Amino acid sequence: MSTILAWLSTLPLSEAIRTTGWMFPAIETVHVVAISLVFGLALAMDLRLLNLTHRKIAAARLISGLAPAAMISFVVAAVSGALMFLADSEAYYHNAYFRIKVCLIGLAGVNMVVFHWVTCRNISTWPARGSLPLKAKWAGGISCVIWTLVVFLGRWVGFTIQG
Amino acid sequence: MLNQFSLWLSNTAASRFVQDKEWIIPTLQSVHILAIGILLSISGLINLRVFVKAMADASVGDTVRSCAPWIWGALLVLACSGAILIIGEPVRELVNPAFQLKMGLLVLAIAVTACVHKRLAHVPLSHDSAAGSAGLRVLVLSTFLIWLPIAVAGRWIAYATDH
Repeated sequence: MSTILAWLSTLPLSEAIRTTGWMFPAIETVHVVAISLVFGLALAMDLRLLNLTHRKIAAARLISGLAPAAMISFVVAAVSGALMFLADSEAYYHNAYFRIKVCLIGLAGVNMVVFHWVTCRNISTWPARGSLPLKAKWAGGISCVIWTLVVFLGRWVGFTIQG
Repeated sequence: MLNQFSLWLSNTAASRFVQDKEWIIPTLQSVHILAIGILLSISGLINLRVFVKAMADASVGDTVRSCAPWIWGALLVLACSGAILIIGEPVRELVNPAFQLKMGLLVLAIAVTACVHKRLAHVPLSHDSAAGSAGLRVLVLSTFLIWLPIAVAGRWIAYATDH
């Protein structure tokens, strides 16, 4: 693993992000804006699943309206995050907060896949308004907690990374 | 003047308390990002409703009204966490051009958001004719276009400081 990390740090792109004064701040800014959008959009969908907001909009319609924007934001966050990792891959790799953050993002992915392929199978039978099945509430609750923790951990990575 | 005030503030007991506890600033910055995420996403949601006609179960007026508690609640969290961050790091914030730009844009964002709510306050439920007006569409688009640079300026505070 250390060979791969050492090789990553020798890439011209890694060096450029590390040495030019503006690249890292610019990438980090894009990352923070994108992840805050992922959190906010996920929260809007999660709170609907929990029946806490947007009760007049059918859950399926709200999700189909917001999910594409959330996915685009996630891709931007992932690409910018990967570029930040490239800048100092060894430091990120050994940072405990970063590791937990990556695991939680993986968990959010699993939660989303289960929700999409299992929980949503009979979405057409869900009531347009009001409370949803318990499994939908669980998916919303889990997602809510995970994305909140991801934002917290991301900030802690920034404060603890040893470059 | 602002410089002197910042230096004075940084020597107060409250500021020293925030500076001395290492967990306070990362935690507040995380909360601040979560609040910005909610504001950006709600603005995005209203834009999707107005321009793409997504989530059309609820009228534009209804959608905006149901988002109001979240908007004003997130603004309150943003203001409180921001105020404590200023107390903790006054020199880094108050004399920083990125911070000053952020504050100017924040006032504008609040004013535009208040205008959107005022215009839709008396529109009857499920009645979208007023919500389709060009003036309102410009205001709705403006909120997102103002919140986005607010988030960017917020992160840029870390890089635009000499201290």
